[in-house]
Amino acid sequence: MRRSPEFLLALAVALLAAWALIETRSWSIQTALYPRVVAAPLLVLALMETFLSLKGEAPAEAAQTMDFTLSTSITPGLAQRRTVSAFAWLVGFLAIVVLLGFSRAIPVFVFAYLKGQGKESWTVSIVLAALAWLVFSLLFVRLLHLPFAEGLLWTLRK
Amino acid sequence: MLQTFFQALLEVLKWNALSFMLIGIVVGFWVGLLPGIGGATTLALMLPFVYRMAPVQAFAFLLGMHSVVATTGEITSILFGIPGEATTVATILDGHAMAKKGQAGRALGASLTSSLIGAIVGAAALALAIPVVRPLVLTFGSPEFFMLSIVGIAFIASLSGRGPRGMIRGFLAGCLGLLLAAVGQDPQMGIQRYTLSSLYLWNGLNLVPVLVGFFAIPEIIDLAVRGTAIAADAPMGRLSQVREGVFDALRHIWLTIRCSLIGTYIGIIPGVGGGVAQWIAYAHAVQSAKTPAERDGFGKGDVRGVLGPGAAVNSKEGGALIPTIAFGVPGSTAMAILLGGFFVVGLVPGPDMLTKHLDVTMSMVWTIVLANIITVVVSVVFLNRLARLTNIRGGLLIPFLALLTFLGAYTSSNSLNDIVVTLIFGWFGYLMVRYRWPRAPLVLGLVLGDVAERYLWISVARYGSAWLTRPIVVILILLIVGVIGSSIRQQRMLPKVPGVARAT
Repeated sequence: MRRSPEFLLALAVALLAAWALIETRSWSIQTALYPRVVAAPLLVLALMETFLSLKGEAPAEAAQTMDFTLSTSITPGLAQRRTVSAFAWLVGFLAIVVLLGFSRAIPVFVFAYLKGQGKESWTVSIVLAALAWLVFSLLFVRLLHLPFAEGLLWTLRK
Repeated sequence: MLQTFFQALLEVLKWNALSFMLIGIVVGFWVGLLPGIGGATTLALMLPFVYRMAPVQAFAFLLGMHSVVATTGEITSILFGIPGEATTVATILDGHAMAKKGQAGRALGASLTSSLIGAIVGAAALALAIPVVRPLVLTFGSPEFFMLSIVGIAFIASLSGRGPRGMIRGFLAGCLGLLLAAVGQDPQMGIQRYTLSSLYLWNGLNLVPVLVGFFAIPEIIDLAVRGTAIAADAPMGRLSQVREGVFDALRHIWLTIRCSLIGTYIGIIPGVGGGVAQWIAYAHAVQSAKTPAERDGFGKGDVRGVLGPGAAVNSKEGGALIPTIAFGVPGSTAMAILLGGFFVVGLVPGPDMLTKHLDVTMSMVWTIVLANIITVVVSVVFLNRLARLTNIRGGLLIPFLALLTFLGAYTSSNSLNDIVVTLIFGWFGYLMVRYRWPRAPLVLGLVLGDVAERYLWISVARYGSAWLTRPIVVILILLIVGVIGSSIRQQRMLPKVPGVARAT
């Protein structure tokens, strides 16, 4: 059996649909009607897709979706490394937002990315990090008065 | 009536009403550009400011602001692939693809022109349709509205992929979107569904973080993978490109007008709104392709994919105002907030707005038209500078795009959980793009899920299974069969694709 990523993706959706259907067993008809109406065809379609992906790659036509295509000009190995790295930066940004709060995390993230990943000069990294913080403070905090949570580290210190 | 119509123009052009409209436009311009801060939220924030204003001034301010949000929201969608508004997601598919090819100026020119045409069509519909719209809306009951949702998904699902396998994936994505919309308390009994014991999910998945993540994160990752600017090595856009975009809108004027009419009609239907209008218009634009090869160009930078949603999203404002003004039935969240504005300035929506206060109603028509003209002119002046942003190298742009994405997700409900949702859906969106599952049907399913569930339950509770035999429902079912059939027939005529361009 060939377990391609397409197969795993379709299988995951099939399992999700099956779980969604099982969950409806204990619900009243009012609550369960809509999830059943959509989860049942979803399960059938996902199982079809799972079965078809077991038989091999999708035909070329199926790949012609009305959507953008990821770049193909980079070698697969390098592309995979860069993908993991980009996603890690995003998760890292979330981590420092949780720890430091938005107002401190923004200059830290912008500076770290520009210097560490973008290999920009010290001046560019510092100026742009300060600019990001300034725009954030003026627009979102001062002008729009949006509430931003303090970071976990600051909350714990209090 | 004609005299009142022109009198209303003079009212709007008086310095105080015009000043308030300009302030509203400036606010709406920036709100549209920033992802996450929606037009409805801003309307709510600005509502207290209209207490001391006369009705014409108040609506010049509120509508001036609200009617330009979608127009400028498309600028962010085109340039960065991050939806400026939830209603400008469809524009990303072709608009951002054009920006990547170095045609940002052309895409922006086309988008702004179609937005202006859409706004004018919507405003004209508002002026003309009030006396005749009531029977039109009343022909549709819950069963018809439910089927209309399914027609929308069938349209986009059957058009979004090629071949039977592509269609399976399209419908699969649509059903998945509909199922995701079921997360949260059910609207009838208040019972929790699929909330995983998390308080955050009680109100369901917040649309803004889902959409921002779903579209922005795959773009950010792809930009990081490429290591170039958004427009890569494509030549810098020039003013002639903007002109070309304007001419594109005029070249496809009938498509633009048809999409505007679609937007207006969807705007009239309560609870459906711009999130749906953009996709139906997009599907219609795809259908307008004369040859299968032409159709394959959609999603890769076909200007018609920019024109359709742009026109529909802007025309729906005029449409949405019709039931709001005439019957006091708001068609969307923004219109519900605007309805609050009526009461704040001492007006009651209903027949009075068509007789005693007809001048205020007509001033709304002019406000929509003038606000959009001013926005388009101002935007055109800055378009080249905006388009140049796509030539900034990715390494410099990515932290700012990530920042916009996070702030866009967070500011929708001021919760860090929204960012987690953004990242999860960002990763899922990336997988969908990578393995060529169409994202559009999923988004439409998610947007329509709430409405579909409400109408499905009312239909079943009220008519049992007999709702399936109502004439308009039968027609809509036949329409779905027809759409699928015609899509299969068209696909059989397609030339075989020799190989798949595998994603990285």
